[in-house]
Amino acid sequence: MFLNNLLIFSALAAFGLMLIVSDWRMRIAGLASLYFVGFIVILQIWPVALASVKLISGWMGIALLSTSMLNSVDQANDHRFNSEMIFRFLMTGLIWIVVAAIAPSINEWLPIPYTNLYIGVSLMGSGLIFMSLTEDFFEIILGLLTILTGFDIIYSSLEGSALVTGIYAFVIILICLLSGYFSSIVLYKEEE
Amino acid sequence: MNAPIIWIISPAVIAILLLFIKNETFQDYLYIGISLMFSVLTLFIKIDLVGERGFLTIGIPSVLNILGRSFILLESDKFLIFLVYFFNAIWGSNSVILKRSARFIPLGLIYTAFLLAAVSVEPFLYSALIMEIAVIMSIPLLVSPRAANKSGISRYLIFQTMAMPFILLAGWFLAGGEISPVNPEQLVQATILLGLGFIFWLAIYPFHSWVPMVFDETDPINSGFIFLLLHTIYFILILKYIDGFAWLRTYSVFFQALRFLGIIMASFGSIGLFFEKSIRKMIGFEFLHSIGILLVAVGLSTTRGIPLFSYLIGSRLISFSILSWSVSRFESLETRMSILSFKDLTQKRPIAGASFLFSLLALTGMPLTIGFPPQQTLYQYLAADYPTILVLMILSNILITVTVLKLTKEVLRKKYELIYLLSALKEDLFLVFVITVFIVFGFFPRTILVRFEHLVSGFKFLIN
Repeated sequence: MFLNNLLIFSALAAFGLMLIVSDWRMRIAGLASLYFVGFIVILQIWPVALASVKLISGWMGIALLSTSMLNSVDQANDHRFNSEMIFRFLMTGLIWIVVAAIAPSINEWLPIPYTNLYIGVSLMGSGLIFMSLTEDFFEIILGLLTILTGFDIIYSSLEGSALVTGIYAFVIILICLLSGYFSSIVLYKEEE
Repeated sequence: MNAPIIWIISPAVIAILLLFIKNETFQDYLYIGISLMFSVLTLFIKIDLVGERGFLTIGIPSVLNILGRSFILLESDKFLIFLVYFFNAIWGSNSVILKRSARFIPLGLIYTAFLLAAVSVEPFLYSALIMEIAVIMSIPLLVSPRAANKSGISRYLIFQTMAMPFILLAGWFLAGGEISPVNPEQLVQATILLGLGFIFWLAIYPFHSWVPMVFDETDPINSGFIFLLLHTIYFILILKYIDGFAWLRTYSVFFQALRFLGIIMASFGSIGLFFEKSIRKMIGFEFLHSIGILLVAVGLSTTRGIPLFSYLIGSRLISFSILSWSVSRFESLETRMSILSFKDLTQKRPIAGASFLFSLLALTGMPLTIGFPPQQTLYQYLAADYPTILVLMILSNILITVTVLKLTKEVLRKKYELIYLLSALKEDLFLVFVITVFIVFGFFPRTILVRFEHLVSGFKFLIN
């Protein structure tokens, strides 16, 4: 029980970090923590070897994201208005409350542990909010990765296929590579 | 050696090797040659050959096993394989002839390989994951790193990625329901999940906004190649789902929803096209309109709708390709052109202008075009059972026809000298050839459209 609550709290705290800070390094640290929490959650269902694929692929993706951001000139830590931060946080808080309210009924559809379901659906909803309030491609990628992490936690609780795990890891890495591709656009612009 | 190794793994490996060739012209020719080779191979190779082997016939197995799952390409999939590689070769040749640098050379082969992998994976519910890889891979093939605007591409990525969780979850729901019926509550849940996945995949209202945006942000030679292939495969996968689940085939609400969404898309597309000024966005709206027509065809009863769907997708592939090529030809003069400058552009590129108008007419199903027979049959079927949808469908096609007539009127205001036209003919010899073949197909449409029946021949529960 304590571990479950701790996992839920850690997942929400990691996402909260991504939401509130402007520094891209801290956001990436938040995402890395999310992957770690996801790993611990999946570890309760899957063998260590298969669960660690999720963690390794996620962190590989994060390494790619960091490298692309380091090479990009678009890494200024733009300061956001406090009102924007409060709005984002309240929106996400609302999502967490809504998920807490509807999770028991979703649990009737999806017979998986409540902790996994709550973390998964909360992350999916939060990622959606995070992604929809921005036009910045890096933030869109962070939001997409959050949604995929949430879905991964739910889907891993339902099915444990090696092929799906492999392809899913490949998808995560490709999405991170896309971020690198678009940060090269910024470099091109600077050269011009 | 087996079919997936030949048509999925080899093209992907060859595409990577082609990346090392520095000479772009040589790379283009190799790409065309290799694509043509893979399409021609379908004529000589028999999959799972039983009995006597002919002279020049090679027999190979159909299955490749990876990590406990199978990739299976059957004899009935050979037309699809032929089609996608021939499509690669034709679009590659076009980019060379029209002197447009196509971003899909050489990585288009990997993209094609992933699309085929999605069709061939068993259990086929995993195709959503492979399609996601194909979508991510398509983005560098669509957008240059120098592109300033990428909001359409971002939306494309988001909406296509959102489809994957829904389809995978629906797959889990249905895992036990392939033969035995699932309970009614489960049926509704699975249909909702599957439906949401399809809606995201096919860019159906209200998730359609990215289509005109992406068409506006990308060169038509790239967007046409990527999206025509992608949506053809999406439709094949949807048919595979309908064929694979007995309960889905008999679930009338599902087909009602397809017809309803289809007519919404057709109407949206035609209204958008009617009011649009940007030519690139116009082809985006025409794309939405044609998705709608295909959805309505699939939404008819399976015995009638599916063969009709195969004709419609054949005529759409041909007409939409010519539409994209003609816009691409225009763009050698001016990128992102407006409809307001259509008259002047047509003066400089009369053949491209004619191809543009003629292909739009074919997509609306005008008589003496390749789109006429399938569209006419669709009207007949709709008149028998769904008159409201028929009226809306005719109205949507009228809107596009009026747009074409408006443009034709603009073009005819100007006088063209014969010598000038002759020089234009010489310049656009390839388009002249294409449009001539296109017109001939309009007179004898069955000669080519009937071959597209092979596209659905593998769906034994849908065509019998």
